[in-house]
Amino acid sequence: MDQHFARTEMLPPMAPPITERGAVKWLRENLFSTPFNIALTLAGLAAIVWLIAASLPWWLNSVWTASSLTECRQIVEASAGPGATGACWAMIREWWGAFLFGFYPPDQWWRPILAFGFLFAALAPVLFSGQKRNLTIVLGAVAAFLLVTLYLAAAPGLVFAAAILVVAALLALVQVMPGKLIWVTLIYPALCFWLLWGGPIWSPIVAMAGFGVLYAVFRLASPFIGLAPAAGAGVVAAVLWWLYLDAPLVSEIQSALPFGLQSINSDQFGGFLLAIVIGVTGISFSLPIGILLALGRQSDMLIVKTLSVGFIEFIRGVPLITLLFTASLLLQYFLPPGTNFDIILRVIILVTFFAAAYRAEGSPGGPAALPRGQ
Amino acid sequence: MAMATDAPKDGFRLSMLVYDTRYRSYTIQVVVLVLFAMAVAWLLNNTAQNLAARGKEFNFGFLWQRAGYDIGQQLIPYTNDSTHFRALLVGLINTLVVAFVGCIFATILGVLIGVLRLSKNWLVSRLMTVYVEMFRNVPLLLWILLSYVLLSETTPAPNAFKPKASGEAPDASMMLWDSMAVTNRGTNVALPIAGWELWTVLAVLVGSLVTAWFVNRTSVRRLQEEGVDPVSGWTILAIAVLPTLAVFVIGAGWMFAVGFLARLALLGLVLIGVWTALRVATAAFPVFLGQIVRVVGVVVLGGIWLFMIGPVLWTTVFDSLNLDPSFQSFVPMEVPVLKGFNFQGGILVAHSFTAMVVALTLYTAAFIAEIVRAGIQAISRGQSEAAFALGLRPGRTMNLIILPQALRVIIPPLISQYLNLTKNTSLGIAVSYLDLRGTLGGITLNQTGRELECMLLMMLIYLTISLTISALMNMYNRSVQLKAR
Repeated sequence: MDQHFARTEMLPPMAPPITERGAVKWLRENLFSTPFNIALTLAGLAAIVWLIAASLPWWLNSVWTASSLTECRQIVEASAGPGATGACWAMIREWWGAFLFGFYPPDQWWRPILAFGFLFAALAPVLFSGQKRNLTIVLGAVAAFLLVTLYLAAAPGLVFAAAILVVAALLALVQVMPGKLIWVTLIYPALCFWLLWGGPIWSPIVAMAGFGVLYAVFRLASPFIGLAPAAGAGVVAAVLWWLYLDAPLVSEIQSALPFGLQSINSDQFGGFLLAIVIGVTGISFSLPIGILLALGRQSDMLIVKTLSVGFIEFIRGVPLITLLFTASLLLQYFLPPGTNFDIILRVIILVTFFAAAYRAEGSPGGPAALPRGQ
Repeated sequence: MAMATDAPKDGFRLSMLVYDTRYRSYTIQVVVLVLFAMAVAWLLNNTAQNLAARGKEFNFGFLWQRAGYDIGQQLIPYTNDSTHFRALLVGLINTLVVAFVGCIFATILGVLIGVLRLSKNWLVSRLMTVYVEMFRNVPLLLWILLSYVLLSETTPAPNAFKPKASGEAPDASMMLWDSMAVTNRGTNVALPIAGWELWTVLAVLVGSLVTAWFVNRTSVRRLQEEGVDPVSGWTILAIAVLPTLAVFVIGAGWMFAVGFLARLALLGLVLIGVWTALRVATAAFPVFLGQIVRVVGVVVLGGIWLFMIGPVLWTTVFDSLNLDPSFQSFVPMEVPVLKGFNFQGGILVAHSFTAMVVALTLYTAAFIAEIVRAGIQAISRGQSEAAFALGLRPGRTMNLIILPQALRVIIPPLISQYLNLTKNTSLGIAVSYLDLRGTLGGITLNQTGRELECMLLMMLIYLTISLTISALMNMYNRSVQLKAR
């Protein structure tokens, strides 16, 4: 009896059923798994079809070149029949420069472009400290951006050459000493200010020299009077420098060595340029203030805590628009008579406070959801 | 043996104020307080000097002067002869109304979208992602302007509702059984006239809601104590809704009631018929293909019946029987009627209000959707798996296991969103919605030139609103938070 009914060899594996493989499986699992899901899919498809059917003619009848809205409509009606509607992008084309730069003089557009490009060169050392590869990539992108946009903005040849030279120098610096790029970040605020608002080049340089004064006084005094008093003395010296020596020094040097850019008033700023100026400055200044407020809020010191919480709750309790109103209407009441404060600076101050209060609040939801024992 | 840890006995030295941790915090606080007081004194002094230099004084007397301007939307009586204070109140009420309506709609829409975004349906979850990203990443101001422009530019002018001279149907018609007219000047909505009919409907509504709430409570208690669920959720919903609906249908005239019920019954019959027929026809199909064919068939054929065959059929039947099944409102309504160049009667909801509600709802709903999604995802999958293992159905798992835990994560950021929405109503100025910012902080401020008083008062009011909402929601939050024992 050596009959046996077991197989001696393995069967070849069969292909899975059609509904369990490939596109059919995906469709079944993701779109048609239950009657309710099928209905949802149908509703979604209907919504998409309706949206496209309703808006497609408007997109397809777009007009890009026209001198007025009436002309736009005439072109649309001529090409698509009476009663047809179409997008009129001609106005966007016309105003594109104003969207980007506001009333900034067109022959100076290269200045905000340079400031915007170098913004990334200044951010890179903070984000990728000492990482040669990433820094090179960012600087390469900055170079490409500057080449294209400066060409489009018809920048003078000298500016073009200078921009290429500076980026090339930075690229070389990254290859040799990537850690030193942080100096670009430190210089950038003054450089950006000078590029955007113009004026003598000496004013940012002399202003930055105030920090040099601070450091020098601190180094000289610290062996004699201790670290903390030396730092205080440094701050006092720097403030004195900015208050009394800064302005006369700038005008002296400027009359001896006149070099500068055309001055641009704050009311000529606008569009994307203004948004970026206020946004970037507000974000960078609100970070330290926000951290201080958050620390103050957690503090055991009653007065510090009360003041921090009061500030945060006040700012978070009123709409931003009232704060901006305060900037434009009330700051002039709060400052000494005769002070004339730049409008962009006023807005930046209020936006910074606003962002700082929100940052200090952080996310209250997360920790509260966890049991205390954790 | 002397204790090594004895405190040093030497006296107080000045440097201890900085270096001794026992005194340092007092030093810091005193310094901060002095600096703060100096800053406040400096600001107050500057303000006083500036006010004196401009020949202005700080007083709120101007609030009782004649305002002299009109406000489009007023929920309390107001004319341009009223005082600035009255204008302030009108603006404040406008702010609160738009914030309240916006919060409710945004919550409903936000929860719906947040749940749908987690749907296993690929298409629906992608659509919801697009929605959320689109509305979150474009400033609210643009959404407000867009909805206002769409409402006022794409809606017909009132004269489009007039029948044409040639006898053709007018270009535009009213909605919801001729009770609502949307024109480019606003939305006219019929207004119920107070009378015994209105009180009956309200009494029935309140009565059925109270009954439903009571039945629900008893049912939940019995479920918890005895483990039986005597009344299902659907029954409770029916108790809450059906009586009012019945009053409306019966009150709409017996002819409409019969016609309505007959239509409903026939629609049901048609749908069931189609479903059964398709079931038989697709019996040989694979399960999944059959399901698709049935659902698509029912939706398509049901739609054809509802919108194409049904209306024609009913018109023919009623016409041949010479009957009028039109809807008669049980509660007498003041219906908007086209008189001259404009609609008269009912209430006029300005487009600025509608645009504000629409934009605030759509924008805030995107944020609430993300909060809801995050809250649900924060509950570990083990919880729902355990619930399924116990045999709970998906709906019950959601209601009994996931949501109560998710609420803890959801509520605190939700409070922030309500506050944001309330503060964002101040953008109404872009579509001339005269809220608090538009009256007190806008026209009153410009007319009287009292920047300081107006701004301080406005900030104070907004602050009060925010802190009130915050306090109320925190009370609710405490009731759902984890109780650490």
